[in-house]
Amino acid sequence: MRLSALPVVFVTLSLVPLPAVNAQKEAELNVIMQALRDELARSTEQLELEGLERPYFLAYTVRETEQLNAAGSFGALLSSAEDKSRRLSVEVRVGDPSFDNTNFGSMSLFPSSLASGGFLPLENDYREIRRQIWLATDQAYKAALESLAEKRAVLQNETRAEDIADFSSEEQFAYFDQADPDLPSRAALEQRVRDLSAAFRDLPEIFSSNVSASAGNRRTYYLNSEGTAFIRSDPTASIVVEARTQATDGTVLNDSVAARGRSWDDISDQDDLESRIAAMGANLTARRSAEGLDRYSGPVLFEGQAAAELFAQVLVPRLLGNRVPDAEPNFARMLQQSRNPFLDRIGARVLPRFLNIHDDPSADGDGFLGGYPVDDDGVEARSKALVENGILKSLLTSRNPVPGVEKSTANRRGDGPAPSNLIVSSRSDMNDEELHAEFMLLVEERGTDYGIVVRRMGRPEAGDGPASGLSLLRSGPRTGPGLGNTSLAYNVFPDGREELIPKAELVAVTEAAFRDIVAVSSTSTVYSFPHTPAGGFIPSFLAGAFSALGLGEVVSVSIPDLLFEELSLRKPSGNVPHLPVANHPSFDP
Amino acid sequence: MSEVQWNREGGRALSRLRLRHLLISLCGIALAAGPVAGQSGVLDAMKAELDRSMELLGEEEMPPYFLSYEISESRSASASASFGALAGSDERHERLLDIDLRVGDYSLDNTRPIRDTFGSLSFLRTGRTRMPVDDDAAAIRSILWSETDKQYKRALEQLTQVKTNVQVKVEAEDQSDDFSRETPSKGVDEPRPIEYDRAEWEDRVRRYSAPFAEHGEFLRASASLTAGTDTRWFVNSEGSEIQTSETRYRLSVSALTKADDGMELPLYKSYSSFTLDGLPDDETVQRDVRKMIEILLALREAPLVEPYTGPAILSGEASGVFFHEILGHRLEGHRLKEADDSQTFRDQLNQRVLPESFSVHFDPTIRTYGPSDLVGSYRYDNQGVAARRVTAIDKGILKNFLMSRSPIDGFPNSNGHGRKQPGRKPVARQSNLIVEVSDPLTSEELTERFVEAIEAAERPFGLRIEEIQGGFTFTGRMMPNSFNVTPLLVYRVYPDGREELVRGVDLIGTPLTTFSRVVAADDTIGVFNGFCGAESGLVPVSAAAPSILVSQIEVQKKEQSQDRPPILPAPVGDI
Repeated sequence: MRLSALPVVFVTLSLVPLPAVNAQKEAELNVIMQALRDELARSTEQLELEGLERPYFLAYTVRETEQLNAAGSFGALLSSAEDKSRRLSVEVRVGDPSFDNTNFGSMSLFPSSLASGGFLPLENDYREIRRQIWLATDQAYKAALESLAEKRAVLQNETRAEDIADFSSEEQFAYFDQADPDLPSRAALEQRVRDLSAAFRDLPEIFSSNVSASAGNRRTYYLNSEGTAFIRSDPTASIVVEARTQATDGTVLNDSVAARGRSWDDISDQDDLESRIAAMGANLTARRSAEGLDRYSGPVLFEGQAAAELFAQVLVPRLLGNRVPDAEPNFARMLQQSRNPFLDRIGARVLPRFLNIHDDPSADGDGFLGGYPVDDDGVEARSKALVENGILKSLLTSRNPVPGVEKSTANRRGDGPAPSNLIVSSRSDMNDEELHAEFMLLVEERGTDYGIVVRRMGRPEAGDGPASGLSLLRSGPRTGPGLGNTSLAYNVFPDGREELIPKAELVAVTEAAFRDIVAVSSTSTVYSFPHTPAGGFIPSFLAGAFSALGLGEVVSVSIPDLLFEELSLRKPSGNVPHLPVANHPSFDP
Repeated sequence: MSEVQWNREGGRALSRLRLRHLLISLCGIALAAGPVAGQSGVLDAMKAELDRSMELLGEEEMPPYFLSYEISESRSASASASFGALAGSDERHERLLDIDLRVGDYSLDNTRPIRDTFGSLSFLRTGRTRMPVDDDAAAIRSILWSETDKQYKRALEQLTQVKTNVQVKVEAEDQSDDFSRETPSKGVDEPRPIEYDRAEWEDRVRRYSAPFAEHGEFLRASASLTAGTDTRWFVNSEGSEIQTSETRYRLSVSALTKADDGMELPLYKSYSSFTLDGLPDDETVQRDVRKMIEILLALREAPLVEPYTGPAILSGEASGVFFHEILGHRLEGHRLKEADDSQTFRDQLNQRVLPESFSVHFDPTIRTYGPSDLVGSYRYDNQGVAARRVTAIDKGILKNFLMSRSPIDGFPNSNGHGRKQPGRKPVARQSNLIVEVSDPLTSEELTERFVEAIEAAERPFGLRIEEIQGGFTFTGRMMPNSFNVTPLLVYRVYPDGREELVRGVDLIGTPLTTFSRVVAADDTIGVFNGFCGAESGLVPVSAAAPSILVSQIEVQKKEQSQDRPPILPAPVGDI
């Protein structure tokens, strides 16, 4: 099945030769850009299959990736790799911006249009780069013609699901960042994962653990037939430490800590990570023997990272303007089921009146890692309000318009829209004590003995929750069991006492719950995570694979602590595996 | 490479076996100047954890009766170039774990296939388990422990299912045990290092792929060089302790052009050796590259072949692949146990299947044949059973099957052919297939017989099949029991000796009929080295065979790409 979720336009454009936007700077020896420019010029003038339409828009993206990865466990290196690649993708549009070959879900199993790209050589061989561009353009053009014909045929007797244009018109833009960030040595990554993972040799109650580190840079070259061009560098570095054990009753307990930055130096604080690992180890050890929660309904306070994680898992997918493609009727019905309900809620209240959300790609430093100067459609990045005084104002879009958002918000990242830095702000001036007092007041009103505070959630994981096998194949929005379980949560009593909960499942938390947030803190936490493109129609197991390959875009969220009046938590459903028969070999008495 | 295809009608898995001539870069691997000596530390750690597991699990109500650990290490280095420009260059190093843990007993255990199920999602549970690449006993044992525990619990679940399945289904046709009893093996090889000069290799692949850039007709052209060392450590609860190490070098060149009617025309050339020196020198490769260019340009102009039935000569390399697909896969023992396999040769035992002068052996113990290294060689199979020569066909009579430790009626033991790629379950697979003919003709005599056959069949011409891309065969019952071999280079041969290059041919047929038409062979031996993909993954295999004359083969038109050649001509010129 093919899904075209490509960008945008309104003005009738025809292919025009490139104006010399900042051409001199670029030409300063950028062989890739030169090859793109020359082949674009040739295609613009000559590419035409006799008797058929010529492209009205052409865009080239080259992603040049240089990445180091290492993983370790229990003090030893598991793997390390160094990857370099240059991937070309070609976007060809035929028809016109109001109706073109995109936004169409084909039923054919292996649509040829998915192949419209390829790998470029690692060295600056102009002839070979042009050869690859030539072949990819040819394929993309033929595939575009076929898609458009198929789409026209299907829609001959149908009304379009979304009667809006297929492509938005945007300002021409140019941006050239020639920076060449330094990468650490492979040996440095290897030593780091060995050292960090050795911490688990002192943690006898952790059954397995894994440390992975990566550092790299991705440089994107972009050129389109409207004259927009850019070169952008996106350096990233991360260390993720994961640990797993089982409670004394067998319940699987996971936790992780992560450090993320723009460069390896940003995450060089080994002491900080070691102390976070030690704290995680202590928490997991304590969770092993803690009393399990049976069922709870009542006030819940999400603090710090947990607030950001809940927001990312439940609300963020709703803020993306993913469009439902046109398709053959039976298929279209299926696609409509995963339609984002927020597409119909612009102008409606989705949060309490004291909350706002805006997306700000210019935020940088202070933990913000999601920013960029220009998006993957070549649209200049800018800040935009998504929710004002609780009212939904806009969704994040690429040049592929959705009802109510007809221009790009400069949020194309990869194949579809993704946030940059999402900032949740409020008019609240409650300090932590006041928020806590409010929390306890709710507990008292509700008549429960205690409230629950969540400080860390886990990632939704296969094997967690009841339908793990099937949920792998489920696509579309996540609710209920697709949510992560809590990894750090406490029962909080009015006298201030806290009681650790080993693990709890959040019951049916949807976007609607966010409307009923009672109060928030005046301070915010900034938290970053790789965003996987699951918001649209990509099955979640594929999204997981994307993320594993490091293809996800880093998104940052700044958010206050969130107090909910009523949420339900329960003991995780599903079977509980037995404890290991033998003890860990290093801790066998 | 996917050996399991999902059939759209029933969602049922079919065995699809495929021999790939293409260089397939196996998983990830890499070299580097790591520590070489003292690696038996890995074996010690494995042995210690295996003993501890057997002891502790032995106290359980349903203890395992067998446990083995295999750690496969890959170190590799490779460089590839496309049209003279470097496309990739990397070094990899990884170790993967495989555990075979069995509960029940040798006659009936948790591994018995569940009959009559319509597929299952269990493939989602098979994953690759990475092991430390450092020789760190505590880290190695920590992963062995947690994986053993997982496997043990899974085995208990499986055994319950197996026992129910055995009770509710009709009695199986084959009453043999689930696991054979074998003598433990012990043997330790020194790990072998790889010779690799990154800059030089990058330069070589650039040079080998550059000549294609002189012609606008080629859509793809690449050269790659790969070196890899596979080191394996194996221990089992029967007392086997093995450490082996093998190095392989492979150079391959491939190119693709399109005829004006859209037909894609690929051509490959590859060289395999255990040593770097065993690869051909620069001059030879350059000559072969020029030859490839000539052939491909000629193929673009060559006439299309019409469906044809008649006599053919298969070159040594081509006949090796032909035997591998048509015979070899049907001699893999475990298939004779599978309820949905067509079991072509099950009842042919001790019957004549080939002319009396033909014998076929599978011999993993020989490392070379003539001047060629055989990549299907090994000392122990993936179940720790010592490799041995198996004569499958002796003077035309079917005598033996290829056996893993999964017995079949009348064949209670392994003959050292239980093979797999890391992460898969071993099954019987081929090694080095050797076709021997007791009274070979000379090439001239074979050609004379060919001409006689063409005339006898009253055909205007015969076909000479020179090079083969690969092939696949279906052995299941859900699909016609057939094979398909894809030649790259086919000539029409006229009785007057004239030859004409043609394109667009697939060689097809059913195994027994085709076999009965093998008439004669000559004394020129061709060796084919490649990777074979089937249910236990990709394994390196070889085939050595003479040119053969087949009195009647059938060819069909090749599946053809419907895409036109590129609209614009190839770009020319520099910046």
